[in-house]
Amino acid sequence: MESRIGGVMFNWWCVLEFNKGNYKLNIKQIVKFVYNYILPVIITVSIVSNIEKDINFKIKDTIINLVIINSFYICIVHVYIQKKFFMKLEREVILRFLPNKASDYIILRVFMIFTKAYLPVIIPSMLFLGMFFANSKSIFYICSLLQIIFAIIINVLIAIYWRYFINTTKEIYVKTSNVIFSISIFILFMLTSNTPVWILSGFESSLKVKTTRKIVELNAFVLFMFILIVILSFVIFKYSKDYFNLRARMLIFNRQVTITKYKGNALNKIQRVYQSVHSISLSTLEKEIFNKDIKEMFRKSGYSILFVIINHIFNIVIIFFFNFSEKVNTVEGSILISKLTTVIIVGQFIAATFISKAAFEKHINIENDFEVLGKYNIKFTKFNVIKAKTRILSTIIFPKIYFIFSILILASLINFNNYLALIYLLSMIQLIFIKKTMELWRVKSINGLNSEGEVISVSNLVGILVTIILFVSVYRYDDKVQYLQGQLVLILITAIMYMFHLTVNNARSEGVEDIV
Amino acid sequence: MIEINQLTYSYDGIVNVLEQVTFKLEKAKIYCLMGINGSGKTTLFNCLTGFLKSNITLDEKVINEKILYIQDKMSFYNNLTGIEFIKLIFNLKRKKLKQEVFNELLGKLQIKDRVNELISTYSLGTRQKLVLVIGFLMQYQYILMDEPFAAIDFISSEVIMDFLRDYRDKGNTIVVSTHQIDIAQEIADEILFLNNGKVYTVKNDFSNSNEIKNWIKDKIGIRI
Repeated sequence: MESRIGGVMFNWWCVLEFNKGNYKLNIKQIVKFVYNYILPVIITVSIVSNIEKDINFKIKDTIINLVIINSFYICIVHVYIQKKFFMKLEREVILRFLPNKASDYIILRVFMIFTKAYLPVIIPSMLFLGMFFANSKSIFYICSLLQIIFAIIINVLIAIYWRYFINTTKEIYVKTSNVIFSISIFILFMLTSNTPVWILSGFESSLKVKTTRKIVELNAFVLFMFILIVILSFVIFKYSKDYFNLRARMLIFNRQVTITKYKGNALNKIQRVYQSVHSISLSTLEKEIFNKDIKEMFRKSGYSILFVIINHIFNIVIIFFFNFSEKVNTVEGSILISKLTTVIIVGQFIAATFISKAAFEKHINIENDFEVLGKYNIKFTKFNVIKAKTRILSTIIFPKIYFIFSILILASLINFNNYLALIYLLSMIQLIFIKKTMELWRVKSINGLNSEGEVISVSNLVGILVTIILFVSVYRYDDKVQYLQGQLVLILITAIMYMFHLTVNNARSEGVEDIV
Repeated sequence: MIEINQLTYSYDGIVNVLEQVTFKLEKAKIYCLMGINGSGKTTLFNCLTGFLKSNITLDEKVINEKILYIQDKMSFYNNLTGIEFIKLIFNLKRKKLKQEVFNELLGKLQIKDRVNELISTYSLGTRQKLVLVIGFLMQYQYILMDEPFAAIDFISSEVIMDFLRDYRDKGNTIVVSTHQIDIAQEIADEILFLNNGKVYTVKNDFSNSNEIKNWIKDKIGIRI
């Protein structure tokens, strides 16, 4: 009986995950599954497999960095779950009719979110660590597997307990814990930003110190300890499941903890600067929507914006530090520094797509704009709203490419390093295309405006893979001419991808192209 | 005046929700649109305002500039203040806000002290009033209101009804859909009753709500 309920729950999850209420898998769903669950893992695993062979990392630094990166990432996933998943539960009418299944349903969905989001990070982390356990790799991988299961289960429980805490405890405790959590996440973020330094020190020790990598031994006792931990986690899980069977209703309703008070503060000044600087070249309607969104974002997501601003400043400082700490005059040095800069910015792009989903989705969603504008008979097109929303992403969340590269190009020219200036210019063009593509894709995906056609989905997947492969290939070149040619090819492919998302990858119009 | 001739609408192409509906909306009158649940009141409003495509041809200019349709659930930007929201709508419609009239309206609708607060803190009644302010300032000649009194207290209802009467006296037309017979009796100049896709019109000379009930029983054949 239990397993039958589990099966029903799983089918239910499939329907929700793959939409459309169709239980049979078709090619579109398989592509979506590959996108969400397989592709991210394959990409990260393949990247890690390439890195670990050449670089001589220190075990202590590696463990510290991986723990920090994983902790930071898992915090982001937790924020996402609290803000997005749990907030939507209240609207799921079916839970009202099946209150006795609510805890099963919540656990399953949270589990699947963690599986989807966390595997692409924790699996590569474990593989990465595997290089220190050359003599006992099999034991290490068994332990890793157990560790992954343990980590996901524990995080599922933490997410649910946290929600329970938010919904049941005194408001002051919730606010205090939110502040503590925000500070912790910020500290973790700052520490995560240390990753390039850790990678570079690994490079340095590989180049300068010809020592072999330290190998750590594992034995059966370690394996036994891991098994014990996993058994313990299952026991806790079982106990918690019983506990929440009785209290599932307390997880569903949304308690209003944040009291929104509109007060003038320092952020208002930044808000006005953002509005005036970034609304240039928008039409009147787009400008009004953009200004309204900025205002709402600063009021509703002030802490998230502050976090993103500090993040930008921090990353800009890191990039400038690497570029200006030593004068680069050789071609090899120029290529290396441009690669590093691009990698840092691409990393920020990836972070920006997560942040836009986790913290700012409601501001990117155009549903409310469609309703408000439509109900007051205001003429607008879908294009107007998408343009305003992509500008929001560009203004607040994505890195400041023009600013960073104009300084870098200028500095290179002042140093008479024309080759580096040219490389930066080409990199900037590529990154602008990537940025615009990601912004467009993010806005359209949040609003269900991407095409659902199978051919277009497959073409998009192929395009992404080709772009990634080309990037990896070009960024392996060390030759001056080859690298330059590679950059031109990358501009071409990124431009094609942008045009593809702008013109081809669009959902068919459903009468909202022009609302009068 | 707006004249509707033989409006027919069907969602599925089989059953007509509205069937050859004919009536006219004259200037300076309040109409109450009544009907049982599912009789097609909202569908009628949606057809008149172009949200649903029916067999009648609509004048785009009239829809955009002369008719305000206040639905039962209006959408707002909840993180803006009331005043900011009004200004935004005016900017988007490229119209100028007349400050004096605006202040007077706020006083009349008793929301002067609320317009600088975030809309997220507003009650349903205050939200209705905010939309009415926009409607009045935009000088719409026709206001269609879908169930405006369904979930608001009697004090707010009184304030809104007074406001609507004033608005009518300035030569404008208001159509209010409601289930509340006593409100219809109190406010309407004419009652439009929608049943089985047809509209029955009657002048509101009723002295109490029971008379309306009797009229519905006798004329339309619905037992109340």
